[in-house]
Amino acid sequence: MSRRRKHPTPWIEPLGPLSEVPSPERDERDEPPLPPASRREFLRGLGIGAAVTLTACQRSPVRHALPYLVPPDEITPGVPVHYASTCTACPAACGLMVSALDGRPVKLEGHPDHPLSKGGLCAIGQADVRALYDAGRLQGPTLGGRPVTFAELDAHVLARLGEVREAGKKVFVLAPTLSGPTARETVARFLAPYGGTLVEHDPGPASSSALLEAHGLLTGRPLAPALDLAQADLVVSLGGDPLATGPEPVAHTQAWAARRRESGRRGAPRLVQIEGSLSLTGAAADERWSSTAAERRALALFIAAGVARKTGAGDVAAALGSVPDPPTPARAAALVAELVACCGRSLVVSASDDLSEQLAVAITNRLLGNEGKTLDVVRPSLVRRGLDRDLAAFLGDVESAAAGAVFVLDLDPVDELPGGEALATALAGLPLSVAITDRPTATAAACGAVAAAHHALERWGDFEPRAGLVTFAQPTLRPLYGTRHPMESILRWSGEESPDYRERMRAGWETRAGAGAAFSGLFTRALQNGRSEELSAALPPLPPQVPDSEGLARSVTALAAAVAAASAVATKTEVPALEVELVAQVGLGAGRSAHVPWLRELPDPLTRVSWTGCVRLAPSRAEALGVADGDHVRVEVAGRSVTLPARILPGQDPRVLGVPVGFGRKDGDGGVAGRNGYRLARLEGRLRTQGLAATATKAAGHEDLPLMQPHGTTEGRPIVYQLSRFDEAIESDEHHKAESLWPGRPPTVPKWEMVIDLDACTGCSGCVVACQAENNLPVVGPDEMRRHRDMYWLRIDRYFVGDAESPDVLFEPMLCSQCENAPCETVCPVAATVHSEDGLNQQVYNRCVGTRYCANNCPYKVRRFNWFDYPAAAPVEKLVLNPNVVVRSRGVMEKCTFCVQRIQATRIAARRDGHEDWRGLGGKTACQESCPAKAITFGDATDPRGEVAAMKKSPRAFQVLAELGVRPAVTYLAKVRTKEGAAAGKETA
Amino acid sequence: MSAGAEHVEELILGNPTFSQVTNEIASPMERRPGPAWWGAFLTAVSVLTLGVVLIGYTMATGIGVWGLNRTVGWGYDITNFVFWVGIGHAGTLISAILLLFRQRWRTSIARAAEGMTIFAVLCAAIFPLIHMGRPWLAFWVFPYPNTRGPISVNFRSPLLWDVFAISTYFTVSLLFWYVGLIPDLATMRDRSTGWRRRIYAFLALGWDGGTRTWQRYEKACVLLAGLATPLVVSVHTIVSFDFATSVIPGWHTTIFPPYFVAGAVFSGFAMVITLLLVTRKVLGLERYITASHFEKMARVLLTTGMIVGFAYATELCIALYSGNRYERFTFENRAFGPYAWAYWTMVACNVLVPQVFWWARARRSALVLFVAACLVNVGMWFERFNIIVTSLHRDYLPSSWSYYTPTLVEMGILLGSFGLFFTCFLLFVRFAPVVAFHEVKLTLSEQRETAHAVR
Repeated sequence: MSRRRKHPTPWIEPLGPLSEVPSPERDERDEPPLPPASRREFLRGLGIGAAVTLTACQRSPVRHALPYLVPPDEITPGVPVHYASTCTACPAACGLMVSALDGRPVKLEGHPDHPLSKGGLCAIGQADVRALYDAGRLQGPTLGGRPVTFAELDAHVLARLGEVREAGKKVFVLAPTLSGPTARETVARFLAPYGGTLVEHDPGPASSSALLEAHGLLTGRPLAPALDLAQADLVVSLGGDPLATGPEPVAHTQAWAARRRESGRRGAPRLVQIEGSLSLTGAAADERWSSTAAERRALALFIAAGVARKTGAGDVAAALGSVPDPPTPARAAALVAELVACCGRSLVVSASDDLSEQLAVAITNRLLGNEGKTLDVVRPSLVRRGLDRDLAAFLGDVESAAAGAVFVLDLDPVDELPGGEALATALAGLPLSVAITDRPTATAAACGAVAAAHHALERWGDFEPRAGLVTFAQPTLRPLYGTRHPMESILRWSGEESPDYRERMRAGWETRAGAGAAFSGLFTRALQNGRSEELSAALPPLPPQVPDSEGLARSVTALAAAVAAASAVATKTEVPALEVELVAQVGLGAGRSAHVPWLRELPDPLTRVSWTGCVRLAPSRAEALGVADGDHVRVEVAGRSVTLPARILPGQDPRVLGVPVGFGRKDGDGGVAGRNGYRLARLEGRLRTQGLAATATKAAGHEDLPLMQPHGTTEGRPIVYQLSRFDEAIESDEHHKAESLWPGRPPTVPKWEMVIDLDACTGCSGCVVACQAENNLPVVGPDEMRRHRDMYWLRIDRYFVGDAESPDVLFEPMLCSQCENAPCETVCPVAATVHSEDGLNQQVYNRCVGTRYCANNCPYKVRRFNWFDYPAAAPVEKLVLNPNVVVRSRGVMEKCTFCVQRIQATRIAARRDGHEDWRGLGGKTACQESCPAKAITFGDATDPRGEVAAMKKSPRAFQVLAELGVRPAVTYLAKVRTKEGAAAGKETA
Repeated sequence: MSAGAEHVEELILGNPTFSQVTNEIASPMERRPGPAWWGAFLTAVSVLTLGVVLIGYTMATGIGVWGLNRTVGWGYDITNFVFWVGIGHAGTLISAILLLFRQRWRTSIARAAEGMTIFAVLCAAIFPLIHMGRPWLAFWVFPYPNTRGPISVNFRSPLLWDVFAISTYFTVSLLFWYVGLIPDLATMRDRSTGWRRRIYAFLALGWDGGTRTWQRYEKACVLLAGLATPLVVSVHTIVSFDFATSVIPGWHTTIFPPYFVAGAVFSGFAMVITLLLVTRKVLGLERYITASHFEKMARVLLTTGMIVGFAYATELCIALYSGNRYERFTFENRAFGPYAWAYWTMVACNVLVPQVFWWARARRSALVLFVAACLVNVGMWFERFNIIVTSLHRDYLPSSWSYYTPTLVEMGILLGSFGLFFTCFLLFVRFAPVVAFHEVKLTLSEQRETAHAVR
């Protein structure tokens, strides 16, 4: 410790508290205690631990971190080591590439070879690395709130389990969908002796239960079809948000964007979104209708009946009988015609919690011949398996005390289910309730025992997001705290004395794939690549499907019965005048990451509100209620209410209130009472989250919203464009052609430029978080956001175009344009911002005196000033900082650098490797790398063969504020909206 | 406006004797200060202390304690800077330009106005310093040989031009003021005893009152006046370049240099009127600073006020005529946007209020003068606020539009700058003759001769 040097740069602060955490494992295994580590020693040990973890995969698992006398070659300070893994921030299981620097993961990227996510990673996934270092994580197991060792915990659990078995009570494991075969087997083996049940539940704004049940009828397997939007010329989406907050958003976004990029060859695709609450899918859609849940249900039926008639499925049409007309029959009929014209190239999806709507959609897709083309029911998606009836049965058993032992794994049902308070009481009253979690959640507070779990980046695991595709996760650093892999806890309680999940995983795969000399190499490669085709082939098969005709007949019968039942009661039930739809904020999703400051601060791309959840309501509804932005609104559904500030959102259906989930959690908001949207959901057979009859009243109170962007329109300025055809050229403003009187700068080679395709951009904000992670952007908190002092180098501007009730939404990612004639450069008195010889506008932090003149003179307002000393976080939270990027001090200006550290690293590597054109190799910027839609292209614009040069020639290309003569290096491609559906029968060439 | 031969204007009333002049002007320095002075001084020092504490707080915590944001990078800080620089201008105009034009009426007020210039520039100089994020590195804005490699300042930056303009202005103004003081300091040396005498003697630089000394002195004054004259125009022109050379609509305007200079003279004269009304009353200098002085200054106020009003109108017309949507919006936004209150305050104070001076009675009424001059000061502060904040808060991309609300800290620092100004001024009236003895005596003798000739 005496060698510890006081260093002003926070990211190499000594890791004192970490090495002082008592590790029970260490004690049990009689390892000599580590000497007090200096920073250097600790980091070395940490790095070696990570390196050994990977390299040793070939032989045997690593149990100990052994000090090396000679550091391994892989660890070079400042040079990242990449680990392939799998993202577990949501069940979608996207491929992950973890960059570890000096032994600690600092950046998560999408795995470029992953067949579904293809290199993209959403905001929530990327922020998982911040969650790893969160100071609020559980640091060890507790029993009744008292810290204990795992030995004590295990003794307690095993003793109580024995009592429960003797009492003949039920045992449950409640978990999010466990797609990995090893996890499923482990849990099944644990539950088998007790006859226990695994209940899977995926919290979120919409339950997939109805979808699963509908497909259970149609195919005999209650599994969701795997969608392939890349094959769809026409997507009709009823509710939900497949591109952003629904299941598997990254895979869907990348497929959708890939299809749009092919519009030149395959014709312009169309996305029709029919929704009540404005979503990112709705914003991206070519055509958007606003609707209520009941209208969508009617429309789905109408479409099913219409398609049945037009595709010659007379028996189906007959069985469905006459269905009532939806509110806009002509429009609906045109949509049916368009769908039929796109047989086999269309896709209808729904996020409804209504079985009849899901049945109608499933039948429609089958009749249109879309199965096997745009959606796959043979190899379905396995990321959502939870059926709400199982959940309801479980809750019933817990409340009636028929349950004896409940293990809650990586879930927080107390804050994520409507009857959370009752569940908390019931859980506390059970003989054994165990929360297996890495966070102090409300459920953990209610449970008697808490088995502190590794963070996802400290875990081994396997996943099967699609039938027949297995991916692997591997830990990227030694566990920071005295936690345990959740599955090792389960294994321990299954009776194993010294469980080892990695060994269990390997043994399982050896059994499946067949033991042999080849297996060891196979398994190593699988871990190295994060997936394996050979091992995928060895996955256990799914139960067989029922024959198509039988499934269709069953579904049609069920649908006809449901329609008949509905029309019988339709006279009695009134359509609600005002309904609530639960929505997810883009950065927060279901709410599991509500404690991650990056995500809390991330402004929602639609509402532009950060930190705070808001009721979204249409302008006319706000007027009727007499509320303005920030006024508190009390929303009541069947006796339960939440009170949230209002946010007026053009595009919202006036009859629909969007209430966000994920706020008001114990783990995140510190339990701000009455803000939890999940309270409004209703468990009526299925978890209902939309079309809930509600009343809204103006409540006392007002709060200023932490708004990233108070002004929502372009004011008619030519700063963003929208076209109606892909080959249409932008009507250029005469100012764009303004010539400069002055000779330009001498051309630089290379010249780094960026092209952003607004047509592909969905506003998902993955790039914003990527930039934050890569460039050590501080989190400033809600108060500073209210003062408009965000620190984002890259923001996504959102503009509403058109009328307030049904506007078009345009996103425009805005970052430093690296202007050739940069207005910021001329005005700095101390020359702290200068032009580089490769065309970058550089900010020299240690020269900056902070006059802010440059920011004033920036027409794009992309410069950010350090108003305070921001990076004063807990020591452990500094571990996430990227050592290759300077942490800026108070009083200096900062801004996007085009990830100059990446450019330089790539060029240095290229030059070292003898590439002749190393000058033009700049790698990928962080925003570009994360983008699921591949909307960002970056490179040397002077390379005539380069992508950037080619894209700049697109007729859709434009530059923002080019008329100022600043010569920006960022070019945008205009958004295209094919509003007119191709007339029925008119085939696209 | 001349003391021509056709009518005799009595610039100094009551035809006092020279010793009377000396006694009357020196008396505030020689008698113990009264409760009025002490009250004013303690108030000014308290306010100054508040400002110092708040500046210390800002430096220790960060610029974040102000209300600025990512869109509005300058607010009170640069508004105050331009305001104070503008105030300074009247002093130089009165002492230098009116000297060159041989306007005899300037003699009674020049000294006070010059003092005001020095103190105003002092106040102004605070703000560019403290508005920096890292003010401890402020010396980097000076081009001096350094050991940080070949890093020099950026000569293309108007902020750098400001550094030169303001430092030159301050130096020349100080020199001019001091040189003007020398004969009077000598008088004070001769009248005082003890340590005061030693200090005055030191400052009087051995003044002997000889003819050759007077000759050189007069020559030096004219030379310095010649040097200072271009500064009247150049300083505020360069300050206006901070805005005019930028790309921000509302800033990027060629009208700014003359508009700023006129505004500066306008606000400077308003401040001179405000100060002298109080000074002559408190110090009993009615004989020297007469209603006719105020009348003349009111005329200047009326004239420059109309120039400023004309500039406002020109800006609006050009914005409308330019066909530039951003430019047009900026001016619409000034008049009807969230800061419309500031715009109309400015128009009311700067354009409407001075119109009262069309009436001679208003020009001669101390009350009207005082109220109007104060309002013009308020208006001119808002003019700078409008230019800076209203242009910034809604510029090109509507996504970045925001609103700037100053914090108490910023308001406290503005108050503190007034504290500094008045502290300096109050000390000045105690320790230096607020009216130039020797010039008044010269004026007095000329007045007698003229009267004699006419008679």
